Amino acid sequence: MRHYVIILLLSIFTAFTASAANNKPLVIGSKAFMESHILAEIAAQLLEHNGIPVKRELGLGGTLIVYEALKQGSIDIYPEYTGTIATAILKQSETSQESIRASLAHHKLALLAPLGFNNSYAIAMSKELAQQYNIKNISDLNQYPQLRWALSLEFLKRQDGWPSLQQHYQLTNSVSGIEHALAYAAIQQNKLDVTDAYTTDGELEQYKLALLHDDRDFFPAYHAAYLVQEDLPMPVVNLLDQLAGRITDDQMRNLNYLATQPNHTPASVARHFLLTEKLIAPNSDVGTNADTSTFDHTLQHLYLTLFALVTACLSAVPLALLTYQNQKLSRFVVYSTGLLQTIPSLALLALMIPLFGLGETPAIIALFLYSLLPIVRNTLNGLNNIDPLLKQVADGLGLSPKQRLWKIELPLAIPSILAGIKTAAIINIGTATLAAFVGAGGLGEPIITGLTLNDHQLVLQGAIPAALLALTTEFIFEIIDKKLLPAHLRRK
Amino acid sequence: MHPLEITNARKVFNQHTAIDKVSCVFPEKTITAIIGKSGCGKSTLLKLLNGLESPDEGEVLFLGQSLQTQNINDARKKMGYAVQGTGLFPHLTLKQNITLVAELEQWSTHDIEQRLNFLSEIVQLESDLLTRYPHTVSGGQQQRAGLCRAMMLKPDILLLDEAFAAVDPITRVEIHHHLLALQSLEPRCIVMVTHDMREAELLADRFLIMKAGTVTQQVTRSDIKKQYPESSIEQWLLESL
Repeated sequence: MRHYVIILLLSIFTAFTASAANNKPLVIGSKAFMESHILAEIAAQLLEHNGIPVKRELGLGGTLIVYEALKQGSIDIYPEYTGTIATAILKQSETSQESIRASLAHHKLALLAPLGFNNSYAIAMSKELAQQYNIKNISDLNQYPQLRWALSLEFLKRQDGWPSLQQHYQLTNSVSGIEHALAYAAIQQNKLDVTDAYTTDGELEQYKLALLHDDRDFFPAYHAAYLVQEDLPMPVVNLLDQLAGRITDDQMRNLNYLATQPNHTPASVARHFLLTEKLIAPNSDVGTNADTSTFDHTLQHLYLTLFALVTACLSAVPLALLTYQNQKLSRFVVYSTGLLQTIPSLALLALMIPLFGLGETPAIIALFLYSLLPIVRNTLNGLNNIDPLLKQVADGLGLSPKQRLWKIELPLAIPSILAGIKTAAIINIGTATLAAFVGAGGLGEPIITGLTLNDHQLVLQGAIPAALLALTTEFIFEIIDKKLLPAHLRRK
Repeated sequence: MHPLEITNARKVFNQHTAIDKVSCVFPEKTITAIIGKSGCGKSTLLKLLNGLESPDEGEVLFLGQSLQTQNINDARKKMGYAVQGTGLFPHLTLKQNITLVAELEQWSTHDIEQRLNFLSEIVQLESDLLTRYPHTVSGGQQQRAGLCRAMMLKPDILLLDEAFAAVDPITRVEIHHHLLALQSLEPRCIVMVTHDMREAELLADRFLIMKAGTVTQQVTRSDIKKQYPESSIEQWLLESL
């Protein structure tokens, strides 16, 4: 029986990976923040304009997932930063482009020519104040210890953040911590003078902030460039190389700012950039991503959740039935499914990308694994909590072990099993929103895109259906309970 | 040949000898009561008889054949079994409880209905009770359903493990009458474990007295009457414990 389950699962997985393997268009990925979206759109629209079909996998869940997806071959191109590649991906101290390129070659990956701008940490203050004191460089700050500093909490704590900066520039002022999202407004309201920033932050302009020159080269370079498969076709490389050195810090800042404005999206901003740079013609109709409706997202979400839930039921219930009479074995099953539960979902997704690539498969497997514990545990509890006298009577009446299981134990355990399945279903509906991080779609897509673009309406377009789905599930299980169980056996 | 015999049986749990060298027979058409103080081994003896426990030494002969060599589930279907507190399955109605094994044995609907009607009439279970779940009927009604369930397959023997201990004295008397009515219509070998000396006196033809895992006496009702004409059976039983 157990063998069948394994075979079934394996065949489902292989069917998925097989269907994922024959994708022809170039796949362009991005992380879940605005600048990454815009740069991915720029590449996608440039290639589309030149007749190269592309597929977008935007808003993937962080460096680890998007890099694993590139290595595994699920995506071909995504924008990355040299500093990130060196420190977070390759974990090397050498940050020169030559050294990075050499290391990447081991993984059959290549770094295209940098786009020009450097999105690094920086120190910012209001333009007005900087002019007043004639401050241009970070080292100028030495003379004004009276300025009020507040740094984002992460920068304050990072070893390569404030402690090193203070040493490097021998700064004597005191600092406090502040939530990054509040710092710019605090400066505008004259409650604060100096804070940390990202060099291409679109809001710098809005808040009239000046970035101080890192005159003693403290901050590492975070030059943006496309990280690509080594065997990318030459025409594609040539097209993308047209973008080399074309985007300055100021330009990137403007694009980032523009994308936060009403009626703008990363796609429209990318088109605007390509038109201005005369890299595409005005009459080209690229960059119009077919919008997926809320209904489709809900269907996708349901599909992910249901597929995982059904396979989890088909595995977890038999697993519990096969092991419940052996205490050691059933305890082992509960512990190992419990262990799966402790793996953070993004880490679990990242772990599965080398095996299954991007898309529905890693999402469904993750949801499947998370569903096992509640179902296994509740099935075992249901079976083990049956009054021993009833088992003795069933034996005494001459029921075979199989008859006892099907006629007595399983029906008596059903309320508990159903409760386990319900728990798994509700957890799944919540967790499935993370599926968007591996490009599996679902209601997580509007939520994550909405968070990235700071578009609350978009967030609600995902969050409200997800909440309704959870409520509906609760309601459906209530009906199943009523249909299946006599009143006195129902769980209150 | 007696339908049920046990020879030289010994059963040890964790170095405690629960049954020691017990040999006895359970004749046809006879109600045998096993009597003894708590912990004397009478429930263990009953479990040996229907194979819920197997003896460390000795054997149980059921219908002339060693129980160990038979298909235990088939054998048990020929032994009715009822326990204290009824042991009715809570997810099944009284009727489903009674007819469960017959359905599993694939009796025809007609046969099932006929047998159900026969039994429920004897124990006076009205048909509107049969469609109800166990927790919605009285303890006495549950007990009667338990008895019907044990008798459903027309078993060769009937084993009662303190089956009537949990009901009130008045209801108990009613059930005793139902059992005797059944026995007169379908006489069979009945083995009952009981604490209740009055119940034993009323129902049993034979008495097994157990002490510390052994059977100290096997006597018939007429043996007692002959030897102790002055004393009541209940009194004799109490004194012999």
